[in-house]
Amino acid sequence: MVFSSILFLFRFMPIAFAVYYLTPRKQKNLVLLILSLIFYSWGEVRYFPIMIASILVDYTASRGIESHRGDPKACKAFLLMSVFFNLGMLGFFKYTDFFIENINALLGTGIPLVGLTLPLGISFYTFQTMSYTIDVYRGKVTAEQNLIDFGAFVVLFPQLIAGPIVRYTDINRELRERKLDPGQINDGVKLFLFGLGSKVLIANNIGSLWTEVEQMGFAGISTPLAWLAILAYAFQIYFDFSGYSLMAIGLGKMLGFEFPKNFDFPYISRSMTEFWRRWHMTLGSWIREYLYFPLGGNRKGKARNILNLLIVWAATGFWHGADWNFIIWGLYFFVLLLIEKLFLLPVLEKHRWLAAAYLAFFLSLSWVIFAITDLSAMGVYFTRLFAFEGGADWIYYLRNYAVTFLLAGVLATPALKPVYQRLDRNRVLSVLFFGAIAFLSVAYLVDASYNPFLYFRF
Amino acid sequence: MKINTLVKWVKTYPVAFLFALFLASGFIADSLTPTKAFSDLENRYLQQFPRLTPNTLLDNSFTLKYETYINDQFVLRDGWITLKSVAEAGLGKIENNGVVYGKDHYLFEKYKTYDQERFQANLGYLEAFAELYPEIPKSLMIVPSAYEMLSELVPYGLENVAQAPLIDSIYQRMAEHGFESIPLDAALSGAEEPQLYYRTDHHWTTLGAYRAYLALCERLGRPAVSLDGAARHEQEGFYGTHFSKAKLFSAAPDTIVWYDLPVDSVVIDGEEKDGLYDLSKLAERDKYAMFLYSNNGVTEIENAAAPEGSILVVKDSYANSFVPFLAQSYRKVIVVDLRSLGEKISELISRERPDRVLFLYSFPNFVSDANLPKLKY
Repeated sequence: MVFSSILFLFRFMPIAFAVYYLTPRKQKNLVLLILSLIFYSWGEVRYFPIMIASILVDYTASRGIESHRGDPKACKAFLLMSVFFNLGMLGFFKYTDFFIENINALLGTGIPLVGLTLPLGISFYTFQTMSYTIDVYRGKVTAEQNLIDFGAFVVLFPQLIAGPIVRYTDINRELRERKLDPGQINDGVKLFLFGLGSKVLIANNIGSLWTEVEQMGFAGISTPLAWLAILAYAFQIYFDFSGYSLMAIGLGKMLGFEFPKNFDFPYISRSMTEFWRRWHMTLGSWIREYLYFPLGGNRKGKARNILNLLIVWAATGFWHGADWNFIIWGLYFFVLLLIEKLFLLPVLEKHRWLAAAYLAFFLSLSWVIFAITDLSAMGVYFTRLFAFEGGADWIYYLRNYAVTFLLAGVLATPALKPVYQRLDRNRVLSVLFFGAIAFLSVAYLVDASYNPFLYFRF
Repeated sequence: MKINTLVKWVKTYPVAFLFALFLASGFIADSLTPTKAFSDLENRYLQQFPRLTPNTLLDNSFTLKYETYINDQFVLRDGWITLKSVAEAGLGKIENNGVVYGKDHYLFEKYKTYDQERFQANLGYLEAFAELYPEIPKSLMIVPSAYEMLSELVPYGLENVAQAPLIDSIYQRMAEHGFESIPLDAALSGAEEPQLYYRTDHHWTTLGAYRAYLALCERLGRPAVSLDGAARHEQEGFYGTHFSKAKLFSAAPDTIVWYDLPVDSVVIDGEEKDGLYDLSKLAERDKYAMFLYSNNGVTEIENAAAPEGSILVVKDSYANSFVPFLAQSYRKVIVVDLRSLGEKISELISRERPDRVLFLYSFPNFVSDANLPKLKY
């Protein structure tokens, strides 16, 4: 089930929230756990035991660490149990076919692919539960005693599918003790609607340009259309992903949780270094905390630092998808970030327009790498971008999508923030504004046979 | 909780309360709306409440169908789809749901790619047919889409599949297998006036069909009926398939035209009909379905007043408005729509022994129809 669906809005949401709000405070986590398990199991009932196993393994591991504090070996054993289980699950479901394909290609073997459907949100919740056990191991937090509370944390439906990556330390206090505050719920509704609008009204809308070019095949498109299409993809992925995070944060607030922010206008950055501080922020901080620092970060000399960065970015790329292009995508950022670290950063700081052009150009190329899994098709696309190919096809698309591009471009910056703040102070305008988003989103959802959610690949 | 606090909350946080109201009322209204079996607008059956058994639950078919059911049956569905179309127009879009807005209220399909494998396979089935029936003369008529013939009305830069060269290549290849082709470039070319294609529908108009009929008669040396003597009828307010997809609020409706053409009998799938037209369809949305009672397996038309000879028409819906004219030039016309044909075509041919076979398809249907393998049986 995805948030941006009639099913979620007009079945799951009214029922789930009515039940949740009417339940006495003490049972709220149990209700939340049950609702979240239904949400999780909806798309693939057979994966229900996997979620239960995930909850039990990390619960047991952290409790084990807690009760064997004096015994470092036992603690380590429990930690490894959690890490192996989580990475094992992720590896098995997400990467098995990738490895089989590569072994087949390399050795000429014919091992059949497993073709497993990915359990919903596995890339996200395995990271969340793993970091929890690591935090317990590090003594940053005490192990959760209550299995229901812990289960509710793991499978909490708002952040289950696509982040933000909520760590146990972000919400452990709220898990135990939270108050439902109408102001917070109101803010949550607004964020949810912002997210819904981002996803349904902008991402899906502009994304259809990219999808169409994909269906036409890259070999026949003109150079201007190739640039236009990758720009459309850049907006699509931003509004899709940030919209989904906003919906999650909004739903969290409606339930009484404060989730961390995940996007902070990444496209206004002046360097890739800054971009990655503003894009998918919870992933960046997770990787830093649980991969980069344990590897030694920058504390073990320059050469080791570069190696660490290489590992971090290869892993970041690979996390995004089980294909070579994602690894290349990660390494692409490794190179750019390294160049920035070595000398480019001060230059970019000084020249604002140069920085904007640099970012627009290299981010566009990064999305080409990200969007096209087939490496030879990717090659064709790059040829289209750089070996000039004329044609009139782009005129139609520019005319058709001009307003949408303009809208997306403005909304990807904080330019309209003051306008919104003034609007929001007026109750009537605020109701009209959010009402319009709600009605239009439903109209697009009802109309849409076109509602693919990009981050399902994760 | 006191009523006063609630009122205060509603006043302070109207967005949250109205959103809750929106979801709740949508849920309730949706649950109370009776389930519809068929969507007139979309011309398809809607998903009904799926069966819940342990099996359908475990193989995910229940949840999948349940979601389709919710979407298909959502309250005020048509209204929402119209709202989306209006919003798209507000965004300055010149298309919606795969339909492009041309000049002078013409709607065109967006047709960027076609299935090349199916295309080649279908050509193969025609060849196989020619091999099976070498003794029967064969004609082939492929109708280009409106955008191909009215290119000056199509938005600039919309690079749809160029059908003309593909149709030429079909004709050339089929000529080697004994097909006489009926090129329609001249018959259907150019002008908006008189109107040869509908503005809101993918079909040709009755006049477009008549022009193609004249081209066929000329090519085959058959006498053609003149329209001067036939009584002409028309029905306004036709919103066709392109409109159903795009729901463009400013669309200009078409007019359906038909002529009283004499025939002796019309038998559709064994049932005798009263004439060539199903006038009851004029009251419905899909008014084009009036021609020849829409698409049926086998339609047999006899007309003793027509010149001697019989012809078998293997076709798609474009032929429905064409066949009434053809029945004035052949004493017997047998019309077959492979999509709903219930018997073997070989049995039909050995029973009817037609003097000629005409294949009449629009280009998009010819390259996508999955029923052409039936020609081999």
